[in-house]
Amino acid sequence: MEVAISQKVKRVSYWSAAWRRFNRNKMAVAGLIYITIIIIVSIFTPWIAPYPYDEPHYAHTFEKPSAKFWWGTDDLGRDMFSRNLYAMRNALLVGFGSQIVVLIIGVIIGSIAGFRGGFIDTLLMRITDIMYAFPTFLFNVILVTVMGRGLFTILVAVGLTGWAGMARLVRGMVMYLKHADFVEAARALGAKESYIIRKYILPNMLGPIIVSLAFGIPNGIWIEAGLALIGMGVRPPMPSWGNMIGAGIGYIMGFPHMVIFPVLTFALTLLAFTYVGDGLRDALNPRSEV
Amino acid sequence: MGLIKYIIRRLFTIFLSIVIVIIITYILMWFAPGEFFNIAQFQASAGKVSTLTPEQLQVLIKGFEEKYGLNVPLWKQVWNYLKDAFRFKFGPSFSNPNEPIEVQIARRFPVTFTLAILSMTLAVLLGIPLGIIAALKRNTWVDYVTMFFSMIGSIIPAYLIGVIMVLILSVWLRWLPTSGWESPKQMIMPVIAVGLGPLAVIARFMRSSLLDILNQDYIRTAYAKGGTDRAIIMRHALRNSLIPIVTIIGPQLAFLFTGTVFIENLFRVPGLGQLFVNAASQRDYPLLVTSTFILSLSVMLMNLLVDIVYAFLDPRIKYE
Repeated sequence: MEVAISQKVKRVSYWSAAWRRFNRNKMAVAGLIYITIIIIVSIFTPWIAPYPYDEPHYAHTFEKPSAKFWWGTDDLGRDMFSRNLYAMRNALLVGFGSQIVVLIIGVIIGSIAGFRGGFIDTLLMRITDIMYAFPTFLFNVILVTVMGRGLFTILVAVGLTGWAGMARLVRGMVMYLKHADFVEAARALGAKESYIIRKYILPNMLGPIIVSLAFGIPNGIWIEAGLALIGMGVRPPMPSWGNMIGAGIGYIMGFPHMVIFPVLTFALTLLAFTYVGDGLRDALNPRSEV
Repeated sequence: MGLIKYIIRRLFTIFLSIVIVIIITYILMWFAPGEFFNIAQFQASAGKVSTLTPEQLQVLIKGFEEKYGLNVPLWKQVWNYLKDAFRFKFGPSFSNPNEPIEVQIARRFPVTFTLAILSMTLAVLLGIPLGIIAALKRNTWVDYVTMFFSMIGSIIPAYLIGVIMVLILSVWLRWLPTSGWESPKQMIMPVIAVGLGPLAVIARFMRSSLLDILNQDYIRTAYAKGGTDRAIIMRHALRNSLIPIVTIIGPQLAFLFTGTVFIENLFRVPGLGQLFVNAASQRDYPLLVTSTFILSLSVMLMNLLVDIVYAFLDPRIKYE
């Protein structure tokens, strides 16, 4: 009888089940397609962009979209389409890069706090609480003032201020998992700690960490643009959605195309990442049905 | 008695947090390239310094260091700063040496405070009813539309919402001016832009909170007793579902202040956010530290206030 049942049940791995659940969410799939396209475009931006981002055409300033300049030109006659491509590239770089920093710091602090417990846990969580309650954008601005306004320093600054949520998440999971029944069972059977961490704890943490990172990317993107908007982001002439909007807002009554295109691509990118994050959250939660 | 003890303990934590934040800020600035106090910048701002002899320049720099308390070791600078800061004495700023920072802040604080309060009021007054409607009309188009806009509101940053509103309301419809903070007409867009994020979060949270309550046993009991929809929702469900909303307002405050920084710069609103950005771009360190001090203190104190209100509303909460 047991044999009959086990023959009928087809084993589905966690990841293929998750992929199946993800595919059922149409908006998440659309978002993923959009993100894949913009990542590919961003890698090849220097070859795709029709003009360099800083090449002025003084005979063609404030031009409306045309065959020559697809998305028009700005106050210096620079091609808006090319500038937008570079801005998108910078945004993605900071969005993804900052999450690598978040991952490293968050996982280290969270797992030390979770595994050690006691005084170290209390101390680390106090620091995390401060970071969590503090308007971290202030720290971003101060860090950028101190470290300089390059793309790399901006992504490090965003990462340095954004790890509190990740640290809390990892700590909570470690605290639960280290005493979870299946871990106790493995320990009772004589499994080594390193084996338990590799085989049971890490795989179980992966899903929530991926979801948290997916939501962190749009966060990093808007901080990068926000810094540029107030003049603390990448240095001009390097474009960012923030400094393009900041420059365009002064001419918005006469030349709204200088703002419309950056705003639309920016908003679309944020939406796409959020839909993918939503899709991942539903897909990677093992309690939702297959 | 528990409440007072709780407040004292919390105030002590806030005090410690602020001290840590200020120490970190000072250390960061100490490592800044061009140092805490930039001589080249000082020369540029003094203007006529180039005509002075090196000896006179040394005297001038010494006077400058004395004025800003830079002639003592770092730990002593931090100590001196904190000692005065908790009495709201911040000394002069680099960019405006004749006016103490507390005066500059006192002039701008009402603007930011008004913007923040109006935005939060908007968020609460609209967010709660929207969440209730979405919950009661669950899985209808009303719910879907509300939740769709709520999602957009919570992921699109305030400044982007501001720009989109300018495009629609100023450029296209020509209803509202693009910037300023004198007439009520100029305040509409900044307030909405700052408030929309918290509004979206509150609406979403209100919806799930009410749905949660409606699934409770005592609601079923009330129905079994023959209560009407209206009576049950008004008397039992709403009151209890409102309590957790208070907790969401606390974290939204930090978010709200971040929003005002951008919105004040976008709409040229003369508030603290603008002061802060100017301080950062001019490397005005005393002003930058003080902005950090004021903003983090405001956010933490308001968080404390929210927690006290929460404890009053929910008798199950004990002050621990």
